[in-house]
Amino acid sequence: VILLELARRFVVVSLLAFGGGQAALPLVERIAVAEMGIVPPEDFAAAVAFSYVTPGPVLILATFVGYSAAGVIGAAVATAAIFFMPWLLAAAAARVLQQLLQHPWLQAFGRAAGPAVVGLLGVTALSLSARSVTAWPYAVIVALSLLLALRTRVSPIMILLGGGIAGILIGAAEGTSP
Amino acid sequence: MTAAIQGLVTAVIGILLATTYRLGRSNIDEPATLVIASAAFVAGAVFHLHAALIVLVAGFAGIPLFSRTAREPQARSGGAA
Repeated sequence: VILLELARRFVVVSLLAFGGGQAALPLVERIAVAEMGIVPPEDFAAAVAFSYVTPGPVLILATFVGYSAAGVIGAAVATAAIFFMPWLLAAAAARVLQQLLQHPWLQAFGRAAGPAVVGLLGVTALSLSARSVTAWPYAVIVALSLLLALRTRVSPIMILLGGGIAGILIGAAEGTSP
Repeated sequence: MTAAIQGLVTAVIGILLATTYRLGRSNIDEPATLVIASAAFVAGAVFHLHAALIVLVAGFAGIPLFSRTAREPQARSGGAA
């Protein structure tokens, strides 16, 4: 039953991922953490980090959520569910779809859904911050990482690695001087 | 949360904000879209509405809002938007 539930929800998520996989992060968070309670909040944050680090789409996150829910089978079902509809849409009717996407209504839908996703990404950033930015040095990491990601070509992997190392240093500093 | 993970997550937040900024630059191009983005943020952060619901409501609201303006450039330049 949990497998069906997971599959159904992830198919919906994949259809609402306007603006790429990262746009679906708020949806996956809501499902996995709040609604189904599969993944504890701090584990989810770490899973987001690792889905950035590993090559390929960020929605590989679904694999992790599926595994937490129902082991290897869960991982397989979740992965298939989240990539099935986009794959089907892309493969089945590339040409028809292209004309359909030109339809004024669908264009208008996308023009409004895009900004909504931007707002929701803000919500996700906020909810991640609430749990992890517990002291000012962590706010510095956020600022540095934002700056590096926007202004330089430093790979996200290096930024995340730097964040992890900085975290260890902050943890050590807190430990020695309470 | 261990120290390393906490550092990692804060770095993710930075990257996420960068993505938000980039998507914002490409998606928010007029007052109406800014209103939608702000409304979606408030709906999620304050009222904890379902993200899927917010995207759908925004999208359907966009059909009457944007379908006229979306058709205009096609009518003028023969489809090369």
